Amino acid sequence: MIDNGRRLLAVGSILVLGLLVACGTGSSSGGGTGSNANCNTSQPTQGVTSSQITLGETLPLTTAGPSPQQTVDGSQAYYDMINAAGGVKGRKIKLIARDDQYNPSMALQQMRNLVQQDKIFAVAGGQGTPNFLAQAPFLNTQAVPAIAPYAPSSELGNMKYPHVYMTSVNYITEFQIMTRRVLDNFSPKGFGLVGVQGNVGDDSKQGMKQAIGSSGKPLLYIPEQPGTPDLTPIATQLKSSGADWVFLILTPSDTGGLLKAMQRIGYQPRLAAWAGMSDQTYIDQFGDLSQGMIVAQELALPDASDPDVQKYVQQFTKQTGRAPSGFNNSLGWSQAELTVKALQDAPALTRSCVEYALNQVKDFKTGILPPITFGASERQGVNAVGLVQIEGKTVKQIASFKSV
Amino acid sequence: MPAVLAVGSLGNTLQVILGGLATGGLYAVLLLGVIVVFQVSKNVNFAYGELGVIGAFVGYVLYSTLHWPTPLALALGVAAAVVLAAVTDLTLIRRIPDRQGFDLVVTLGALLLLTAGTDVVFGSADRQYLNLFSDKARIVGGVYINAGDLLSLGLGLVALVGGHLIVNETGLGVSLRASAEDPAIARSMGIDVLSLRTAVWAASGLLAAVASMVIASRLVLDARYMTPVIINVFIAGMLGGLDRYWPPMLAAFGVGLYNSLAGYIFGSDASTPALFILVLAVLIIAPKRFLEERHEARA
Repeated sequence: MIDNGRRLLAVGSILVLGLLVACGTGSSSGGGTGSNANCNTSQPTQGVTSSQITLGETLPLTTAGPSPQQTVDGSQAYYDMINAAGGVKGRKIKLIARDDQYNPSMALQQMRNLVQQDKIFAVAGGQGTPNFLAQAPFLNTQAVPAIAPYAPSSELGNMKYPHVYMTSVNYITEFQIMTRRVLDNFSPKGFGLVGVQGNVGDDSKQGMKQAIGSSGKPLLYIPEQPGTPDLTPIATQLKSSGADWVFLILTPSDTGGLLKAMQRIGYQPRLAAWAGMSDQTYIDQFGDLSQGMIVAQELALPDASDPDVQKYVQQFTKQTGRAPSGFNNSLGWSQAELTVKALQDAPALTRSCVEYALNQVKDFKTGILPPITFGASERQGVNAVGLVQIEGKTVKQIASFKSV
Repeated sequence: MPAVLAVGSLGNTLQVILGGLATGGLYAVLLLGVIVVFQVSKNVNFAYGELGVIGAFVGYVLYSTLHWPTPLALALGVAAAVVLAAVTDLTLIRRIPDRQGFDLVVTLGALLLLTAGTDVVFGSADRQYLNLFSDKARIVGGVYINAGDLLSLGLGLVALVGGHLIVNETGLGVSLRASAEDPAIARSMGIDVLSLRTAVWAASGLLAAVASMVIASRLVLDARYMTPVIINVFIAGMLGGLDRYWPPMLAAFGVGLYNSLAGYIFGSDASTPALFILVLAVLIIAPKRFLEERHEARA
C-alpha cells in the first residue's frame, strides 16, 4: 500500500512536472540555440526595466531611399499608440533603429551594438535581406528573438534560425506565384529576371524555375550589383533573349534606371516585380515607366474594404494625422503589432517567455498581413501572396492572397 | 568570373557599344574637371561628384517643385555647383597646409558632409529626372540611336577636344600651364594664380553639374547616384595619369566602353571585378616609364 502510494506519488510528480514544462511554466533554459518552446520566468534578461522595454532593429536608413525610414515611422506610430494607452505590462516601449547601410558587415556590427551596448530586449522588425542574413547567426548564438524582420529568404523561416519569426514570404514563394499567374493568363514567350546578386536573386530564380517547370519557357537570369552605373548592357541582354516578360527584384533606384535603359533601346516587355514596388513613393516617381507592372502583394491595400484593414487605417491616421503611405508604413505597423502581441501574451518579460508566446500565435490578424501562425517548430508565420497591378498613380488588386 | 551569358547579334553588340561610349563620354566630361583641378592646384577633390549632385538637385527642385522654366532651372542648378566649387577652394583648399595627402582628408570630409546635407535638404527619395532627349530615337540597322546617348557622347567629345584647345590654343591656357608648372614664375609674369585656381575649381563645378544632370536623366536622382560613377572616373584618371591629358581622357571613354562590354558579355555582376582586373593588368603590363614619367607630360 505504502509502496503503491509512493509509486503513485512519483508518477504523479512526473506527470505534474511534465505538464508544467509543456505549459511553459517550467524552468528550462532560454539561452543557447535550438527550439525555444518553453517559458523561463526567472531567465536573466536585459532591456526591460520597471518602466521601459527597449527593442531594436537595423535598416538601410541612408542607402535605400525613404522606404526604410517609413517602415520605422510605421512601427513608431504603433508603439506611440500603445505607449499612450499605458504601454505593455505597465512599461513604455522604446524602439532603437540603427542604420546598416544595406551592408552585411555594417549590419552585423550595428546588431552587436544593439545587443551589447544598447542592451535591447529583442529585435523588432528590420528591413533588408542580405543585411539581416549577416545578423542571423549572431542572434542565434545570443538567443535573441527577432520578430518579423522583413528579410524574405529561404534561409529564414525554419528551425535553422529558431529565434527568428518571419512574417514575410520568401522570394521563392513570391516569384513562384507571380510566374504562375503570368503563365496561366498571358501565354508568355519567354522570361527575363534581373535580381540583386546573391540570395535575393537566387531565390527569385528558383521560384520562377519551379513555376515554369516543364512548360519549356526560357528564362534568362541576370544578377545585378546594386548601383550599376550603366544599365544598357542588362537591357540589351534581356532584349536579345527575346523575353516578353521581365521580372525585377532590384532597389527602387536601379529599377527606375533599368526601365529608363529599356526605354532608350526601344524594349518594352511586360513587367512584374517584388512587393516593394507597390509603395507609393516608387509609383509617384516611376509610375509612368511601370504602367501595367504586376507586383507581388504581401500586405493588404489600405483602401481594402476588410474591417481589419479599415481599423488599421483609422488607427494609423488618428495617430499620425495622415493616411499610411503604402507598403512601408504598413510593414512597420504590422511588425510592431506582432511584437506587442508577443510582449502582452508572454507570461513574463523574459526572452524565452516572449518566444513561448510567439509559438502560441495562431491566425493572428493584423489587418495588414494574412493571418499569422507560428508553432513549436514553425517559424514561417505567413505563406500567402496576393497580386496587384500598377495603374495610373495607384495599384489595383488583381488576385487575392493565395498560398503555394 | 561567371560564365559567359550571351553575346547577341551584331546589332545588340553595337547597341552596347553605343551605350558604353555614351557613358564614357560623360566620364570624360567629369574627368576633365578632375584633371584641370589636379594640374593647376595639385588637389584631388573627392567631393567632386557630390557638387554635381547638388547642382542636379537644385535644378530638379526649381523645375519640378517650383515649376520654373526648365532651361532656367537647369542653368541655376549649374550655377549653384559652380559657386559651391569655388567656395570649396576659397574656404577649404586654400587653408590646407602644404602637406601631402591633407587635401584628400579634407575633400573626403566635404564629400561626407555634402552627402549628408543633400539627404537632409532634399530628402532621401529616388527621383526621376528630366528625359533630356532620351525618349527620342531612330533605328539604324537594328540599333536604337537614342538622342540621349548622342547627347552624352557629344558632350564627351566636346570636353575632349574643347579642353585640349583651351589649354593649348588660348591665352587662358598659357596662364593655366604656367600656374601649373611654377606658380612663383607665373606670379612674376602678372598672373593672379590664386584667382585662376578658384576659377578652375568653379569650371570643374560646371562640368560636374552638366554631367551629373545627364547621368541623372539616364539613372535616377538621389544623394548617392554619382558615387559608383565617380569611382570609375577616378579609375580612368589613375589609368591614364592625372598629369597627362589625352591618355586619361581617352581612358574615360575606354573605361565606359570596357565596363559595358564586360557587363554585357560576362554579366552585370562581373563588370566591377572586370574593371579592377583591368587596373591590375595595366599596372603589371604598362611600361614602368609610362607610370613614372607622368609628371613630364602636361596638357
